[in-house]
Amino acid sequence: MSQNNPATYAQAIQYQLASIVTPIPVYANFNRNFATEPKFITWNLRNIHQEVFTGTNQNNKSIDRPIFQISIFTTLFEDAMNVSNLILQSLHGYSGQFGGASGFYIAKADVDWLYNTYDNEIGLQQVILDCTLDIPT
Amino acid sequence: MGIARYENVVINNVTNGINLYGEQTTTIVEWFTSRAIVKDVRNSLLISERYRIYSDMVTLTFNYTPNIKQIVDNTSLFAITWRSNDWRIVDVFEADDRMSITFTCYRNDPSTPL
Repeated sequence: MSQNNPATYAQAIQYQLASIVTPIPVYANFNRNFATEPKFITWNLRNIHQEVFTGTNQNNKSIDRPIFQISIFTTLFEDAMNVSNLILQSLHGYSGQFGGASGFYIAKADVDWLYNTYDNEIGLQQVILDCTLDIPT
Repeated sequence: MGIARYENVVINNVTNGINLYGEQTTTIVEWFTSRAIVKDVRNSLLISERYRIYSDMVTLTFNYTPNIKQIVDNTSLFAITWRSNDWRIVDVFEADDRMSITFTCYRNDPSTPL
């Protein structure tokens, strides 16, 4: 298998999250308009890793299992819970096309609802979720 | 007695969007050109440990028109180009006789290594 492109992942995650929670805005990393937006979502991608098997062939790799963290920011606690539920219902256990027409097929999406917290500095409720994708190539 | 100093300015629309990767984008598009009375041009310098930050302020006075009133109501959606730089509106003063509107505008130079 060849190595997948992280840039493709990023675009697909942005597209998929935005289509799940629309009209709530979705951003990669933190955005600077938090003061004017009562609800928004950010994501970070990590652990892109296709395990390499023994051999001289560079394409001797496993499927990819990247994880992206979803951070939900809302002014109301209730909104944070409801938006997290929206994402859980839509993504957890999902299998199929990910990221719209220009995305890719995923064998499985596994969502781990990690914790909720409150940011004193910006006065926003947060829910943090991890989503692991199984991406065959 | 000073001279009224009229200078050309461009009023721009500011639109915030999101690109394919989820980064926030700022798009500035010209709306119309105008002439404003320019006053109180002021450049200031702040020296931190590693950088010099130049921040500039200027006061621009416009005639009271429907377009300028629209800017007063939503200052964050507009930017002013004066002397080829991008200025943002900080303060707004509407004259009581509704003849003029004065903006205090602000801009930052990119931070400069010391």
